[in-house]
Amino acid sequence: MVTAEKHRNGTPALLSVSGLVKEFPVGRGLFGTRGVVHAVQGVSFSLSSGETLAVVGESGCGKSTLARCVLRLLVPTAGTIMFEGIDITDAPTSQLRRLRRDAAMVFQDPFGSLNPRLRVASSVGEPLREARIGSKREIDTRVRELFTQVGLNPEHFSRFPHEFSGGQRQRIGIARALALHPKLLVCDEPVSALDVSAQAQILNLLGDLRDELDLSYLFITHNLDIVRRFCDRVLVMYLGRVMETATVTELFAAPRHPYTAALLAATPIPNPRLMRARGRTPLTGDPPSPLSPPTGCPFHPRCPRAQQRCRDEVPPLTPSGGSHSFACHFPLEPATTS
Amino acid sequence: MSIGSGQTVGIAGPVAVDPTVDISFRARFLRRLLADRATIVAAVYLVVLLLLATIGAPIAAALTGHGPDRQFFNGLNLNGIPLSPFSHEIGNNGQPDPHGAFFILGTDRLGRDMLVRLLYGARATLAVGIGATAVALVVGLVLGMIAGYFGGKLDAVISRGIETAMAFPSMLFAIGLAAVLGPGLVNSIIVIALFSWYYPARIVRNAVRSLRGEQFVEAARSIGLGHFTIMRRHLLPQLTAPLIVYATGVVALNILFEAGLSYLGLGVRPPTPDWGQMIADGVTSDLYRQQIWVALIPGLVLVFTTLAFNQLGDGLRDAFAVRGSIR
Repeated sequence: MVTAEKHRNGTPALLSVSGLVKEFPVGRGLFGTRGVVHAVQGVSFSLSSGETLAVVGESGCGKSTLARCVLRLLVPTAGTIMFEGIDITDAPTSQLRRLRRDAAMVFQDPFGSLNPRLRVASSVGEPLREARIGSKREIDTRVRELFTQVGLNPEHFSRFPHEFSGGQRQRIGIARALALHPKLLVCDEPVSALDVSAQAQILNLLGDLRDELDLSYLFITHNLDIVRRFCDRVLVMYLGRVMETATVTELFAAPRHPYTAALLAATPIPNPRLMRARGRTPLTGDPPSPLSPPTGCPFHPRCPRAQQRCRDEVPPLTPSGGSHSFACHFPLEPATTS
Repeated sequence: MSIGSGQTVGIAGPVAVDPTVDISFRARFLRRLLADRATIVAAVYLVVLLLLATIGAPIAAALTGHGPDRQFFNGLNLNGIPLSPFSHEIGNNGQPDPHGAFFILGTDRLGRDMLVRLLYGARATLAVGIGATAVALVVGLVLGMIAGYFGGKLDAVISRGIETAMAFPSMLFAIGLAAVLGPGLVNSIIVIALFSWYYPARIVRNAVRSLRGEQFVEAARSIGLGHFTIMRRHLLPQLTAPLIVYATGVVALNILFEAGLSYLGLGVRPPTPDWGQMIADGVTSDLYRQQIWVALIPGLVLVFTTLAFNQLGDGLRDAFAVRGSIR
């Protein structure tokens, strides 16, 4: 896994992750460890320049942990993360400077991700100051430029976060992420804390920035409508494992994994007649605890198609032509659209 | 919603924000503080006291011509009892001599000027009270930050240390320690700081532990800020308000602590004046039965000072809008 994974056109992928595992010990105390949360269990994917990859799944499926490992906010338990062909899996903090410049994160909570005691210009300029780029005046100019770029009034430069609305704060968070001209933005549910109209604005902004600045996105979400509108490829996760990955078109047209099908069936359609016509294949119960994941396929306790083999054997992620892969012993027929 | 050639992106232009909302934390803090009259009185009292202790004491000594340690032969009446406030020294005839020295607050057991001693005594009392609190805060802040921020084994070690220190009966142990170290200003500071660092340490640790999980700390890490920078830029500013509030309360306690040690003869070395010592002087040997002022004056000043610090702490807490009780 040391050689850079070559992508379609021969250049190394912007980001390539293979066999990523992240476990959290719980209840560590005087008397040893009580258990291990298997947050991410062997996830592999790659992201090429300019691409937007969605990571979807229920809460607790490990998608946020995955995002934090990619940015090395967490140190993975096993696996490899390559950023622009360079292995950053175990790189010490001192060697992560390039990653910190080229990859930035947009957070879910626009209220929590800005220090309430710092003026917003100070928050946005922080990456610049930390990277020691430019004089105070140059940083000021760049911050004003960033404000304009994300649709904020540069005159609101010296205000405090509490003086802004949720959508505006998310713009401030995006401006901070853009400060060092990153190539990759990791967006952890960037719009799920916003109301619907603000969601649309922020998504439009992110889309425009993608075109303008040639950004790649690792887009964590649980909203499939956003995936369909905004993303190129999808990674469906369940209990720390990849269930299915495909281009957005393929996945929405013909999901092969029963879990993906169930997720798609659960998205509401804003038309009662169509909604009734679709019929329902409801998914019952909750995902099992990642403290003690089930044997075999992690989805088998809730899967309508589960058989004995699913309880015994973990299905490998197998390609089925093109970029479509899925991990299921008894996949849905390519033609069965829900 | 296309980007076109311009740089501006986004549907909504900047939303107008009510200008009255646009006031900083500092402005709101000052407005609340100035509305609180008792706290203003307390603050003014403390500022005046500080000025009196620093520059007022030598001025008083120069104006009256009475040094803090100067004993007036005629500063006691014929029965050896100290003089009351506003009295002249005793003449050869046993009556107050209108041409002799004048004592605004009377004299003490050894015929020394109470006013001058009280002002000089404020120096030792305040120096030890504030100094010990400052030392305790710095130690508590550093240990609490390390424990709260890094967690894990470091936290376990520091937290157990805090609990161990808390388990000691402080006054009893301090008396023993002061006796071993001997009296003196620096020794008093060390002894008192040794018994007041653990509360701030615990407050800081718990505050940092909850702040640590905030997303803006994670955001700071994702930018590449180091641990030290995060603590200094993102955590410390959130701790100043509760710490200032806490510190003013602890100064009051530590002033009492110092007075207690001095009362027992373990504080500042005599003849350096000190409020605790002055109270002790007035109370021991039943002197207060004949001349109540000797104990009452330093006692009242000590009470007012402690009250003022407490009131200031309460006022600052309200003005900072620090939530919940921290003491």
